Amino acid sequence: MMRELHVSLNQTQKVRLQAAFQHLSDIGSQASSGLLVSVSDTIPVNNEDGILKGHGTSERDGQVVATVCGVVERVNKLVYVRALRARYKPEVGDIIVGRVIEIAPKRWKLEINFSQDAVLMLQSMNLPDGIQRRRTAVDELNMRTIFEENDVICAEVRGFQHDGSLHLQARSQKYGKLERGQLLRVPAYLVKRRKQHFHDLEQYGVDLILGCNGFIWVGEHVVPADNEMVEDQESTLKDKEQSYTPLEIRQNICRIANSVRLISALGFAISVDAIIDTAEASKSSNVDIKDMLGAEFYVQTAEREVQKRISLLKKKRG
Amino acid sequence: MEYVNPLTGFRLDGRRPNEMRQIRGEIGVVAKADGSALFEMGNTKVIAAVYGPREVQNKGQQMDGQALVRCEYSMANFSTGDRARKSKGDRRSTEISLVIRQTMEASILTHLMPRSQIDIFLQVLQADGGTRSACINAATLALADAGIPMRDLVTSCSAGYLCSTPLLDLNYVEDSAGGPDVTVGTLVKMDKVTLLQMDAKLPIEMFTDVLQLAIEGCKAIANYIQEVLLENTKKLECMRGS
Amino acid sequence: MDLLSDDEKKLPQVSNILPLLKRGIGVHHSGLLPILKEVIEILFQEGLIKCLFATETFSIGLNMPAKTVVFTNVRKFDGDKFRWLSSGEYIQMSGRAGRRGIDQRGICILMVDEKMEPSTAKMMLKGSADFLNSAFHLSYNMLLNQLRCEDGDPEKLLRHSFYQFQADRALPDLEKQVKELTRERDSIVIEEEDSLKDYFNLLQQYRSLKKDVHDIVFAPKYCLPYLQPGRLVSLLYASNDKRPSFFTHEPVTWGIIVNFQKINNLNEAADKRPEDSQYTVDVLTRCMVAKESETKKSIKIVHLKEQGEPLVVSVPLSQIVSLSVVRLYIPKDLVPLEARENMLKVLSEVYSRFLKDGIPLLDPEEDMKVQSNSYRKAVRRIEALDRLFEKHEIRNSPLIQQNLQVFHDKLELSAKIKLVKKSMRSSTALAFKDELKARKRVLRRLGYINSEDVVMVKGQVACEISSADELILTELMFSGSFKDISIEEMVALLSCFVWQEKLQDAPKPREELELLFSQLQETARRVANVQLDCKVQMDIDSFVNSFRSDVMEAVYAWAKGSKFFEIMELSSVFEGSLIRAIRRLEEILQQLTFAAKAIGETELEEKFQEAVKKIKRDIVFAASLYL
Repeated sequence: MMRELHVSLNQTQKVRLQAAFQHLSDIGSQASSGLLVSVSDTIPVNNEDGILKGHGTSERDGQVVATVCGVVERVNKLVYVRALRARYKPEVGDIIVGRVIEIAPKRWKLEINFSQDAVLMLQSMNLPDGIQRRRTAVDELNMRTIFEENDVICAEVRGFQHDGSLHLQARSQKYGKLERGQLLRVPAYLVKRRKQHFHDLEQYGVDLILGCNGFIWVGEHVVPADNEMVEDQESTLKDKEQSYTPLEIRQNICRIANSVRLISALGFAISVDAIIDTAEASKSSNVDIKDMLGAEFYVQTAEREVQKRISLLKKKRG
Repeated sequence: MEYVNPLTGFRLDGRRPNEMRQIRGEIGVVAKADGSALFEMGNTKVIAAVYGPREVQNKGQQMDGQALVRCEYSMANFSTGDRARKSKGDRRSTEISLVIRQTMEASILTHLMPRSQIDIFLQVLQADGGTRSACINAATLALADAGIPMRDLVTSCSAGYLCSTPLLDLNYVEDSAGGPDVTVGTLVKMDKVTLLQMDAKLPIEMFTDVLQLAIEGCKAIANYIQEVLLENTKKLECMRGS
Repeated sequence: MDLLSDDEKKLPQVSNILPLLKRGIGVHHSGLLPILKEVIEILFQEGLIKCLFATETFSIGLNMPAKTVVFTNVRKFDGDKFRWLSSGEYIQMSGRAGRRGIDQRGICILMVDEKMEPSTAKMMLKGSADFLNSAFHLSYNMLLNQLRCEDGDPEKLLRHSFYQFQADRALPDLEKQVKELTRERDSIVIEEEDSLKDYFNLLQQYRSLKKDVHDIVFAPKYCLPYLQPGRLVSLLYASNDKRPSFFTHEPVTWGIIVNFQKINNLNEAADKRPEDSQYTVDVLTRCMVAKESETKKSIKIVHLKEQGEPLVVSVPLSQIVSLSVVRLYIPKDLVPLEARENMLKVLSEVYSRFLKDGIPLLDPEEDMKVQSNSYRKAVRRIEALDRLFEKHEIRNSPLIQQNLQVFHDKLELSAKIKLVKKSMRSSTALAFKDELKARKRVLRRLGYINSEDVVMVKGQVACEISSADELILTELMFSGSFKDISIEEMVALLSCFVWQEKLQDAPKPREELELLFSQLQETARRVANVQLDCKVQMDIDSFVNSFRSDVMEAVYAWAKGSKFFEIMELSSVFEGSLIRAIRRLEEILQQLTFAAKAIGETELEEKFQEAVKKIKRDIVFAASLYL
């Protein structure tokens, strides 16, 4: 996870960056109507009855107070504070990317930036052809052939068990082990829940998974294979020979990954559009992949974001 | 030695008796931590990093109803002028770790994060008296930065009594004068004291004055911290965009 | 039985049933205390109960064979009427007769205490089992749970539903039907189809106009004064075949009014004005009596000139075509056959006397004082149509009747094809697609999901609630209704969600509860309105009324810690029903606890948990004897 990028800016770049940040904060304060609070601030509720105090709030002397820093949100009578920088708070159905920490009996434990390790049960995995798993001892012994420690996995949040542990499931073809790519960690608040979290960036030959937990996967595009089991030994051998990622794809992965790094370092919300936008901009202005995290492109990205938000604001106002 | 000039009423470093040193807080100084902060009180400089809530490392310590809070305090070798080696596990740092842990735990809503662990790492970069207070203030900032829910902001400040004068925020010279040194930690809005330590004797009639002075100091720090936090929140929200 | 506390042993249901059980007689129905029900079931299985009076519930689910099954009735009340047992039900129940390995044969006795058509009996006894039909319906909870998964496409779920399967399976059949019908239609060839069509349309118009006029003239307020006894009226009589006739003038006969009366319809009498009620007129006319069986006779009105008995029959107003000016004297006693025969003779005489230009009729406008614009307009248009008919070229065609008949058949076939095609379309398109769209709209409008179909906070709450109306509960929760009321009141309020039975004379709950209930109704009405706006089909009033306040008081007392027999005195419901309601209540409370947790409202969460503790005790949650 990274906080602000440490780049050495020259004097003009410093001024430009300052100006861009100033613009952004001006736009931000114009656009957002939400009240910002920090810990122990009182949240005005006009003495209404039956106020529900949601996440990030508590009561003191009959008043609602914030327990975290963030934005006050209101839904009917529910008042809650949307925390910004905090660990991931899982919701059922979220797509997450995680790393296997430990293999325990019948389950894997995954680090997913939550307050506990998440549990992926062996029976929450379907066999490759989509058949439900039967519980056998052999199957349990062969768990390492599916995932090993330090593997990166994509899965879906199934829900909290009664004992309070968080369970995942990976019963679909698109979930499972992620290979040949980069895992990036960004603050979870930068990834918004959307309808789509899997993205196939065709023009780059790259798969992008924006995990709700702030883990972002950028990897070589895999064709969702349904009948992998049918292939015989010979062809898998041949596969192995060919199984290197072409240089171009590797470069693309790095470019996309650097875009993500840049956006998260600037603290902008991470979306596919923003990532592609940044990558395209770096390409069109002939910025090398290694220079994407350099001072000049950093400032440029900030300035581009300013322009984008100004035009968006204008559109909104008609 | 005259710690307070009888003529001008100024202290050795030129402050008035009820004047605090300059304070400065900065959020987000450790990239990998969930929350981090740098806090300066005059020449005292402390860095705090918070990890968690995360999976408990030692399963035996896991608690079903609440989070485990751990705190590690250490002083950098270069933080003081003398060349004596400061080992990490010495008595003084163990004691301070414990004190800070208890103080912070009183504020953290641990029941909201069951079966997890929160680690607070405190490193003194520069020591010039009042490291305890600076650590608590830095920890508060770092915890808030990590988005860990807290009842209230915990702030701390010390006060002493030298030359028949209550003095706010003692520096190293004043601290080592051997006079009484009262370190107070408060939950400011709730008006509660969570930490009270005193090293030497102090007449009871003077004690309230000194305590009151320290509490005033806490309040001033709380205001400042709140400002820093709000500024930081605003920046994050604005940068994120809608 | 010792499981129960002393207080519970005092329950009338318990104390009444014990002596019966000791004599080997048992009673079993859904209103029993669950524990009693289980005791009886176990005793029955052990063979300790010799004679068991049971409702249908006993026949379903548990394996409870008996030597003999006796049906005391062959009809069953299904909510709005007493209907015959369906064959499926009969199979279920009669199948209990005969224990394997004990009885050589099972005996099934059917007590038939009323007349029963052989066909219905056959249907019942020999009919196939009830069809398995999908009762699948879309709930908001289901929808939200689907939406919050990345690939959770609600449409996919629907496509794999059994309902859809059934619809798909019906498709080839429908296609075949369409083909056959089309072929049939095409095989019908008519000459001069266009002019025939024209003529047919005219005829239709003419008919509907006639009907309009008839409706106006024979509105009770106009015609009642003229329905005196003795007046001659012309009646429609049905020709032998059932097919619709295509004459411009329909076959009529004459009769004499004897009396008229209002149809006493108990249900409607109260709120309808006298003018709107229906009347029948007793008319003396010639009828043909055909004996169909020993007891049943079918009476048919025939033309005066034909063979038949003179009888008094009651006919609805709609069957009377016109009223004549002529009134005849009627002897007081019409019971003897001769008197009636005589009257008809007189009638025939009158008829033949006026044969030339018909019996003079009452003029609606002059004699009956019918004054209405629509009447005049209709009459004028009839006149115009009459003229058109005269001019029409094929009017004089000799085959007109036949042709019209054929044409009519053809039209009917076309309509049928249309209908079948429509049902085909609706099943090829996703069965629930429209409803899905409408429901999504509702969720968006109420803020459960955003425009991107991402589930919002409210949606998360609704996701947790699956045993009661999730929308209303969520709305209530978010309007803070549960926040400021006591736990007991909250439990009472929630009882409205689990109680659906209608009690006739349920006492009104006390004022605080009444207030809460009205709050609930208001919310329900609001949500219903939103749903209606979004084109989800529903009836607002019945929806609002589906929440019943009947057991609020009892549940309130239960949560307060009253004994079970005490709350039974508060309400006149079956013990078993109440227990079921409270058990469901507990389920809802558990779900609400999770919901409160999801939004991080710890106080509410604790409140719900406290409520669970309060209601989960004693006999209501007594452990099952089977476990």
